[in-house]
Amino acid sequence: MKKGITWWLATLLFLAGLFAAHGSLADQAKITVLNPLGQPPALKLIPMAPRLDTLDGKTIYIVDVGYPETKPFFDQMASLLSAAYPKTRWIVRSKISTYFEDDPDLWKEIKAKGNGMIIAIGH
Amino acid sequence: MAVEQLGVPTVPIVTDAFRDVVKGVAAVKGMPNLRIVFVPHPVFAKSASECRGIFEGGDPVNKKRVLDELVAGLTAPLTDEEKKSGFIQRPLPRLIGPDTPENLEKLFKENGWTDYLPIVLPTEEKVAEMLKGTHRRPDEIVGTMQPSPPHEAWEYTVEKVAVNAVMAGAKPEHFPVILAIASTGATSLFTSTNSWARMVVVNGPIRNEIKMNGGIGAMGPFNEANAVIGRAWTLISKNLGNGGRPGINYMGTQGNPLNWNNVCIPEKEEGLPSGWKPYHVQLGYKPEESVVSIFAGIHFQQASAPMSPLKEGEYESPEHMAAVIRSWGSVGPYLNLHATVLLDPTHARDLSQRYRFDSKEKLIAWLRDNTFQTAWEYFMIYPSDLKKAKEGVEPFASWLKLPEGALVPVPKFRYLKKPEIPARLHEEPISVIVLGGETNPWYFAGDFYYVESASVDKWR
Amino acid sequence: MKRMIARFGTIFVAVVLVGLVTPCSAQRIGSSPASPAPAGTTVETIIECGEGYESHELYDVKIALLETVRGDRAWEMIRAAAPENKMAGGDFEYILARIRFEYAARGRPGQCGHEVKEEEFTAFSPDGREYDSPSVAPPKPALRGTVHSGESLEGWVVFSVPKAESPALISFGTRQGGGVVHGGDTWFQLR
Repeated sequence: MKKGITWWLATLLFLAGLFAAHGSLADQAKITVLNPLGQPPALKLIPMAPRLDTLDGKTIYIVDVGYPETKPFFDQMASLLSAAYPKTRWIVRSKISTYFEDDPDLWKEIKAKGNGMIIAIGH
Repeated sequence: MAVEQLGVPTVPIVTDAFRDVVKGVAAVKGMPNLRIVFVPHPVFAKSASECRGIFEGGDPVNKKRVLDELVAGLTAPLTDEEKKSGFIQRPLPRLIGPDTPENLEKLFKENGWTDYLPIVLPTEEKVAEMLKGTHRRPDEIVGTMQPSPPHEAWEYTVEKVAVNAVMAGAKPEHFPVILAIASTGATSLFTSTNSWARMVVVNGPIRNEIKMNGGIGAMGPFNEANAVIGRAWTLISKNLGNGGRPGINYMGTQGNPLNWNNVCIPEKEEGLPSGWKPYHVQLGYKPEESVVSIFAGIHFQQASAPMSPLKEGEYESPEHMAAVIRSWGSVGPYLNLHATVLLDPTHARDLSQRYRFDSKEKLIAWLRDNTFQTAWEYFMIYPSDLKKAKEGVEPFASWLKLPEGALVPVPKFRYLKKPEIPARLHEEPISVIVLGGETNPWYFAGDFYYVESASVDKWR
Repeated sequence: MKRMIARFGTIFVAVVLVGLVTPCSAQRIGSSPASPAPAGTTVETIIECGEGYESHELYDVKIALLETVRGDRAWEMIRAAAPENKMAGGDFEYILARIRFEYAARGRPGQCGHEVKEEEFTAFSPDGREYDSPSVAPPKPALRGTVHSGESLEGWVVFSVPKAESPALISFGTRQGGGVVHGGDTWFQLR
């Protein structure tokens, strides 16, 4: 009798353990998924250009990228900078075409004839 | 930055609405410390005194006086960080996890990798199943994509496209179409402060093989293939195309509802009137080739324009169509003149039989010649003629006196002379696609234009 | 019991390590400065072509570094190319690279031409210092011209690198539409 009860208890305990383990495993079921992101290119760090020791005697280009209705912005910028730095030559120039387009000819001119550049503005 | 690289110190000025965008772009282009000066957004249409106030006032990001900051940007010596060179690789782990599905879905959503609808998690088993839809190798490069210049373009493999296709709920039979779209590198989430959209039109046998719907409800949520392919493109544009993060690489001020499915439709080739070619055949593909064609635009509307009570059946006339597409015009500071018409097959038949347009080309040619501009639109394109108008030169002077909205005898979709403002008139500015279930001779028209096409067959 | 614990512990640690060191996508030859392609290799990449505001088309490009010439022999060829060409200054010497550039559209319209120019190729040290491009005329044919789909171009590009530096690296990168490089820069070794 005792042996029979012991076996039953053992069986019950075993089954209870199985259910508990299953529940626990289901709760903890983990999966691995694939990363959905594309690969960014390697970054190339580019050292910035040396700065000017003074603005006096220098030529600074103010480049307008051509966003509509921004002329007053450039007029005021040139006016204020000219007043504050009269020994600096401030040249306002427009970049070609849309603001997405490169303008290598203008950059070459600035490299050849200028000492610095301010560029503006979208919106 | 190009000028910095030439050895010339530069200071860009950007409005503060683009702070995150421009700092991110400068960083990925190699100058994370670029000396950017910020001003309050926006600047356009400001008066002289307002502009003066901007320069004398503070940079809202860097908290310095703008004028002083401009000078310091050019003159303050470089820091060690600003002098750095070298390469930084950015490898990505292939796998994520292991974690519970619930946690992974939460991760994907919080990272902005979904469209905020539930996704199918891209397990290795599911991705392997998707890869059966193509003969291409998983590690083969499919393309590169960016949300717009100047954001960086990311590169992706066949496997990566499969991951996003799984997430969208696509099946392997849809995969070649999705790969073809991905191979164009065209993002569906183009970033601009204008809220752009994209459309993909599928032609050829693949449409029926994968049971796409070009009939009743073609543009609505009524078909699996249409739905999952369009959705996959959105996810690809976000995750593989470095896009879709508002304020960083998506700036559409209101967003565009068309971005949910990107107007993913098959042309109803079976509904084409005799003599009307499928869109891909118009481009030079063979009828038996399967092709995806990408279009870009802002909106579509079910065609409506005032109809004259004096003319019967005017709705179905080409004049009505010209009146509808006349209203599409420039977006942003550049002139873009184009239109796409999605014609129900019954309407296409009417145009073919009643109005004798026995080819799409004839209809398009008629629309090009008979859709006229308004006076203000003409003067916008040719400001020198506006000057002449004010000086009394005809016919411009008479045009200036016309009531607002009046048309001038100048075709809208055909330049008679070179525009004086930045403009793009596409080689074929009007596209016609046949689509619909023939329950009503309606049509949709919108400001979409053709961008490019890719073969689906190459990706089977 | 102790053995069982040790066994399970080992398996556990192994699983954790596998999770932590899940491999990243392997790098293709030529896709980064860490894996530059040697001479004689053709590397495939993607570039974009188009203007303005809209999406542009992608084009498949194959770049092959056919030959490199360095030192005295390079100088002989450069001197013969143009009398005004000057010798490389200081501790620098010239390296000539003969490159082939093939260009193919992926779909339609596929009509955008790409202007190939020497400026698209830049020399670097292995640790990432960019070297200035020398102002000399290359031997003919120079790698310069416009290619359309299906066409290829072959020619010389001149670089100036320190004499002791081997290998130097060169990268090819386009700067289209706002300066976006599609497919990342393509890297070669110059020996």
